[in-house]
Amino acid sequence: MQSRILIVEDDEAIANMIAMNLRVSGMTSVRFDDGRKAADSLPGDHAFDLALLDIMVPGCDGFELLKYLKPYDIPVIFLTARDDVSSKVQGLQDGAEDYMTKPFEVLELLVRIEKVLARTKKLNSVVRYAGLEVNFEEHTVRRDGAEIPLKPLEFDLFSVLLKNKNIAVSREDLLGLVWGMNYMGETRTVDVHIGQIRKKLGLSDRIKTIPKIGYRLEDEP
Amino acid sequence: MKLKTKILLICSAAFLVATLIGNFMIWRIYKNQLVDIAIQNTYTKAYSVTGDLTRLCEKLDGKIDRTSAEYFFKSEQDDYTVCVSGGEEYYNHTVFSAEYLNQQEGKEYFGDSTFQYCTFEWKQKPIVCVYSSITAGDNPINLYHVADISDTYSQIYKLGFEMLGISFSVIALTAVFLYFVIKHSMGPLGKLSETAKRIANGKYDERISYSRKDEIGLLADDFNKMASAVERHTQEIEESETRKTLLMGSLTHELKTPLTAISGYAQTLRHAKLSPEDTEEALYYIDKECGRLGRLSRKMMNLLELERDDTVIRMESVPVSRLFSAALYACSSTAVEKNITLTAKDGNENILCDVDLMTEVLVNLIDNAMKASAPGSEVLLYTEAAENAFYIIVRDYGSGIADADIERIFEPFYMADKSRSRKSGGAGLGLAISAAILRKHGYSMTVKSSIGHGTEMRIYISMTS
Repeated sequence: MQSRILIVEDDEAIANMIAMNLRVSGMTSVRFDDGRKAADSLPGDHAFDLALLDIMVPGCDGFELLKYLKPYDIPVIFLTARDDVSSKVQGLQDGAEDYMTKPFEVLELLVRIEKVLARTKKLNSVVRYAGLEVNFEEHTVRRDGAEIPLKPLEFDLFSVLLKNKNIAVSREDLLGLVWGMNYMGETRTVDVHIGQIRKKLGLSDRIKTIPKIGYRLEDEP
Repeated sequence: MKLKTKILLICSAAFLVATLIGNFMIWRIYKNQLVDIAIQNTYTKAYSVTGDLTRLCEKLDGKIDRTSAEYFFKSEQDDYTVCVSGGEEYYNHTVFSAEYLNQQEGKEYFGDSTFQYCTFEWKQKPIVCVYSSITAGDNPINLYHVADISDTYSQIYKLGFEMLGISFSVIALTAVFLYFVIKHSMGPLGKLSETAKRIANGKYDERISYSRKDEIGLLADDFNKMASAVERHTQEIEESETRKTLLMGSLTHELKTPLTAISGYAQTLRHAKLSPEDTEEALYYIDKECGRLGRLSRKMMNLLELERDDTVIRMESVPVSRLFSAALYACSSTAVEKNITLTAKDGNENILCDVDLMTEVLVNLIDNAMKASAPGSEVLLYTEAAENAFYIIVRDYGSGIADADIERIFEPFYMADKSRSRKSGGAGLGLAISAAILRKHGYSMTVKSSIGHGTEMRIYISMTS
């Protein structure tokens, strides 16, 4: 099942950009440019897995809107140009899951969305992709019911690519996300592990090498 | 050394010297007079002795000899006269010899008499000697009358010391008096210096209270004027700084939105596998947001240029109607697009202004009015007379501005209706720029508005400025 995201952002360009990225990574979104309209629509439609809220929106600001979202148990990430500590503290204290300031990195936004979805159990623990069945809880990959043995690091690397499907992730970001920020290894380590995954899972044509950036797992070969 | 001490010392010293010189002169005059009197007394004595001896001489037919002379002087009890005739001392009870007296130099005549006198010192005592002579028979008789005038001199020196004593006590009294006078008149200078220190420490509202109308009073007045000017300038600079800081804060905030979109789309283009339509859309937004950044930076430059103190504007006197027609011309295409009627009336007054800048103000106001207006409505431009002034008014019948927003609409980047302004391409700088232009001209702008009934922007043009 695709995740459904609520976007409340009054700047059309930014709202559209976020929606485009969500669509590419396999999520759907609903957009509002006015906090009041978003709040009013909730009783009729509140099947959202997550809400991305700008704070300074017309009608009803993000902090206010958060209160309307709480009864429906929708996790919130604030996405705002306000980078003062008091706004951050208020946002997080009021119950937001995360707080990001503009301008932000698209990949970071996607990773944070995914983390919040995982934390709030709104992420499917089993994902099917190209004849593979990936179980994030069991850390297993099966083809036709038979488990393909992957080393823990290989599984983590594959799941990062899978969760950011259709988006190129740089070697540096992969190192950071899989090996951890403090890992001092070289980016060649990533290449070696990608090679292993391609061979073991038979995904040579789907894990694309993107020049000057890194790797991208694509839907079609 | 403190000025107070300096003045006190200099004045006392000068006064002392002047008093001493003056007293010395007076003492000199007294001294001469006293000596003269002493000499005169001696002369009188000598004159009377000489007269008596002359009468005796006539009585004796010029035959005066030693015996008669001795007798005469002894009966007179005169111990101060030496009587000499033909080189022989008839009588001498003094300590001087006739020869010694004759040898004294500096003899002078008394006026036109035949008497001579001289003064000399003998054993550190001042002595006066009066010379006279009587013709008696063959040999003239010479008389030398001497007198010790030490008493006169001691009197003179006593007087001198007394005068010196008086001088010093006068000086001491004067110094004390002077000290209080100086302290009294210099006192405010200390206050002045204290206040100056406090002002230097940032208390710009400090003033000196000093009501006397002397030089120090004038200085205090000037000082207060200076302090006021400093306070005013500091305040102006602070206000302008605050405005600029706020502007910078809002600007960074305002820059973040287009930057977020541009960098977001660029990252999406680099990392994501996009359909050709999505790619096209991403590029369209990048281009559009770049345009927005460009407009924003141009307007910011305008505003900063206007906020600078050294920007000069070119003032000329033109009829308001000319500004109206220029503004209407600039707004006409948008008006047609939005189906809004623009009407200008009156405008016969002359206004002193920079035509381009003032037209920009009107265009900004009309632009805002049209944004607030519904299609088919009207925007009015007209003037209204006031005392020594007039108003230029831009009136619309649009949505109006809420009271809470009215105070803030002149702030840069403040938008009462953010989403609508953004969609119509506004950066939120129009009114801030207009207000800055008017401030530069010395004119001002007020707002009258009610929700649902429209807005009246009133520019106050003072004819005296």
